[in-house]
Amino acid sequence: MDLTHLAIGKQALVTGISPRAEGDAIAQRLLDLGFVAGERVSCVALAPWGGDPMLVQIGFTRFALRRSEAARIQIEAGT
Amino acid sequence: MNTLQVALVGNPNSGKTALFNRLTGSRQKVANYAGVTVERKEGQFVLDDRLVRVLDLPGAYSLNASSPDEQITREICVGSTDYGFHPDLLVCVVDATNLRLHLRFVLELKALGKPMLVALNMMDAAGKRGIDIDIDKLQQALGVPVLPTVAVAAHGADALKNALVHDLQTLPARDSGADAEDAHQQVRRILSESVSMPRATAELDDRLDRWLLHPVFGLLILFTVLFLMFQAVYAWAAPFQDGISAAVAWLSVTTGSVLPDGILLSLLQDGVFAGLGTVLEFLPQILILFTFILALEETGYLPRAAFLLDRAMFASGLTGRSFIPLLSSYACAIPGIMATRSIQDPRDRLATIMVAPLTTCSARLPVYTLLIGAFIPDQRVLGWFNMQGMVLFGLYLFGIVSVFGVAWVMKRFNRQQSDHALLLELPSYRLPNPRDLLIGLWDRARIFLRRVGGIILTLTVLLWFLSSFPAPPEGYSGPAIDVSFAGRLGHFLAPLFAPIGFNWQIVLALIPGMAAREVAVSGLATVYALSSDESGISQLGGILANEWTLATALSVLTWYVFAPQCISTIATIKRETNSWKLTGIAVFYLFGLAYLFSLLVYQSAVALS
Amino acid sequence: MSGLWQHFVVYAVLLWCLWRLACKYAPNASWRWRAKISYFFESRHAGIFKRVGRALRPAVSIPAGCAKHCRSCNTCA
Repeated sequence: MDLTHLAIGKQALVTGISPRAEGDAIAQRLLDLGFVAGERVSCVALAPWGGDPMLVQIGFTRFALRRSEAARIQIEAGT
Repeated sequence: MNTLQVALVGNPNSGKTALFNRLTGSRQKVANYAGVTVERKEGQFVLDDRLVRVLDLPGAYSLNASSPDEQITREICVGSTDYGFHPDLLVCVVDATNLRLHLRFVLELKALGKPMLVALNMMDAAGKRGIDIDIDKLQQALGVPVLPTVAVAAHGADALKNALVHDLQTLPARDSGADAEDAHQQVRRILSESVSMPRATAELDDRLDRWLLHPVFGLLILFTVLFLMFQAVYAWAAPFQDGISAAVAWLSVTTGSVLPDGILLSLLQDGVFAGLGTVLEFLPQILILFTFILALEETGYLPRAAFLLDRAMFASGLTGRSFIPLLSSYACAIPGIMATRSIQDPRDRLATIMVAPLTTCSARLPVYTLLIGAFIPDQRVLGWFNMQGMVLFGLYLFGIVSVFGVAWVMKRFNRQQSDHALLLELPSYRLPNPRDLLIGLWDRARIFLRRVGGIILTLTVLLWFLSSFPAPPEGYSGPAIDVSFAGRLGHFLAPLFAPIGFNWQIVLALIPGMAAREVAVSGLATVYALSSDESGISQLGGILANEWTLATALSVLTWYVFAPQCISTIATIKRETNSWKLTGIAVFYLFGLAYLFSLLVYQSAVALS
Repeated sequence: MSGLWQHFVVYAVLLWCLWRLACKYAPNASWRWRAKISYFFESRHAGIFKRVGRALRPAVSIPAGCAKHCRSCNTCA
């Protein structure tokens, strides 16, 4: 499943990035920022009015991601 | 004296700017890179017979540039474009509390093969969190010198300064031949060898974010913080304001006793002291407001605000990337408009440019505070909150609402939605550094004083001249100003503005007021000073309270929320859009909204009183 | 100060203000005029005029990386 389905306070393991299209700059940027396979990611908060964007923590950094960006990140529900 | 050219590079939120300030003090020069609106910050320091020039490169997450900022950083690091600065050495600034993210960039830079060293910043925060870093091991693993720094401490950059000045063995970046090993794996390996981290994030961040990012409380807190900010502007400024106005009054009286009566005295008293003096009185309020804004910036709260408001911005057709340019507009819309170059989508960019003049820039503050001070009673609401601060907050809110409103209307005309990227890092909270705050405030004070001594002085003198000549003929009974050039012009244009309650003095002040909004204040002060028979300065606020109605004051305030009374902003819009048509549309709609809302407000106020 | 002196000072200040405005809003034209005036003085024979002319010479170089500095907000355009 993808990151948009991660509930608040839950952790998961990143399994990969699925780019939207050829040369998806956002996918590349996500990789650069550390959303790589094997990293733990957790959902910290959801924005008001619909939970978009969502605040996730990867490693030791917190990022605010739009649902459309988070949808590119594949995860495996874990601990 | 030999010179060393150093480029500071690193992720955003690595404390690079604080380190830059620590190294260069206030000896900095801010300019632009040729052809782009990316800020170029250069400074220098001298130690032991060596001059070190430091260039603070825009923060970047990667050399794969995704914005013009990062493009510049990339180009200077790689050396592909000549911007007039050729770094002898790259100093990569990393956040010691977040090496997992920052080290990746270090490895990327290392691959360039240029001389570099690593400044391990925020060591104090790392220590507090129990993060233990073996610097020698890290140095060996990375293959470049690593120097600990604490940018916020007085001598926190001494080790770095020494290294720069005494050419401490800057090992050329060694190619570790680890192509096979992925960058992330490398980082993990290096971290496991040299760093021990007890917890993933600081307790404080977690606790604060639970409330500050709460869907309901988060917004409430944001609202409250802003509300209190404006309360403070009035509560704290009063004694300073009185001090300045007393000083100016004293100057005026002393001049009056030294010089004989005549036009020179009038120029000085009615033009310079009355006009400029009135504007200067508002410096304390501007500084107080900026203290809060700069402090908020430093604490790391602003990205949280962007997080909370992103949905609302998105709904109005503004991108998350619009937030930063729009936020810069609170000081002055011009850098805000220029910062829109970082927005990729041309329609989004245009939308942001069109609404930027609606954000309440600091030049409006003297106008607002003058009228609020004169017409809103200094009363307490619910025993604690002062009404004047509330009205000022209301005006800022009105500005923000109009930004969203106009953007939303524009969205109806341009239906296209592009893939807006947000990808915003929320850094750890930190206490604002008083030194950096003071440097920032000093900058703002300097900018304000330069404006007063520059454009405001120039136009006030001109207005004084046009309001004093020609002198009335013998035996003329009315105020002299009525027959001057300016007086005649004012009376001529006044009927156009009668429906919105503007008298001829206001209309007159709006003309030079096109060059700078504060000139409306100094202009009014001069015009009223020339209209009265007394030679001393009476407070402009007091004069207005007697001469204008509340309805007129409210109408003027509303006018200033919308009207583009700033030729420089209009010129910037033209420059950035490269189109007279679009600039014309902007000017037309802004003045149109100004007139419309002023009309509404004035007529309602008259009807209700 | 007698009335005449006062008028002189006031008009001098006024001219200076107009010059400042010209430099801000018509920089190219004012640069050219300043160069013309400077040249006019420098090409006179008397030494004092030459010195005045040289002093009036406008700056030739543009500061690196900054085409036009906006002092209102301390940024470059």
